[in-house]
Amino acid sequence: MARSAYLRPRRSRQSVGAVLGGGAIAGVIAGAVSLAVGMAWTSGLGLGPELIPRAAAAGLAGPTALLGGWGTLVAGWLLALLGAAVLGLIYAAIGWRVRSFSTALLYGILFAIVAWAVLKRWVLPSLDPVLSAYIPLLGAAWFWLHVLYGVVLSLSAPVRRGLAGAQPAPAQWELPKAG
Amino acid sequence: MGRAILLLALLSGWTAAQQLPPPLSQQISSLHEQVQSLAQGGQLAAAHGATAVMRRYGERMARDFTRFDQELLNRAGDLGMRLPASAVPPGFSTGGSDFDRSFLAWAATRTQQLLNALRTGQRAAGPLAGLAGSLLPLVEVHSQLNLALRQPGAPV
Repeated sequence: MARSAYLRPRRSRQSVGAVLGGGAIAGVIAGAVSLAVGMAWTSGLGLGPELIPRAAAAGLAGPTALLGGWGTLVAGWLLALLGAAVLGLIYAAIGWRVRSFSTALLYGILFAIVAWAVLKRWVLPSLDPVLSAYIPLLGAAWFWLHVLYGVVLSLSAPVRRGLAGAQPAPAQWELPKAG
Repeated sequence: MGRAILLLALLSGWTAAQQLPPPLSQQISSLHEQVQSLAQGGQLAAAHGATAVMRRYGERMARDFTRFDQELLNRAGDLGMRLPASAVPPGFSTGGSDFDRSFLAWAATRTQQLLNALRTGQRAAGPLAGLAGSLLPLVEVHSQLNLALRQPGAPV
């Protein structure tokens, strides 16, 4: 009898690299989408489209980043995306078992709300007081941008599945169950 | 004896009146006037600043204080107040090469006045305390910006 009749490949587990890499990539994608919407939103509020990236850059350069040129803007975008990638990594590390899209979506939104609260209360006032100072002017927009981030972050599962599929995993074999 | 008691009562009433903060409507009107003035000054700097940094500073001021004023108008609306659209012309000329320096000095004074008013508002219990407390860090950021631009070697 052929070997395949007795032995069939077991589903390979996702590697740590695929899980964390998928989370970070999904975090960057979610961060880019949220940043783009945030820029449009701050523009609509009359605060200008460049506020969030400039205020993000102020985390490194201080308040004068609000008056910087293109270099400051690019640094701000990169910093914001780096923060989004770190959050995506944490999301994937905690919820790597989540498989169904609806669960991932719910988990992504809850994760984003917790992240919003922790960032607002503890992280931003100490790491980036300039961005923290603008949050009251942004109003509900700041909250909804985080929810949007969580929704897009739910793509983490398909992204990491894609990454895992792209990597040739070593074949693992198991015997078929009796009957 | 009766006169002494009356005098004491009048005196204690006068002392209490001295310690009372100004009425809420007066506080909000005063903040509105100061914030509008800073927003208008920012518009002038955005248009007449000699350097790109100065024009960006003016634009930042105009945008932030216009939005700040909107928050005040919303709060006043919630309290059933109507604030006048008072145009307060900034007290400096818009021409000449000294514009940047005179604008920065003017903005420093006005920002400090607004900081003091917000700190007073934050200490006073009432509906203004929360708003003043939440917007205070933003005005502190503007104060730090102004200070940085007045340092020797600043790009203005």
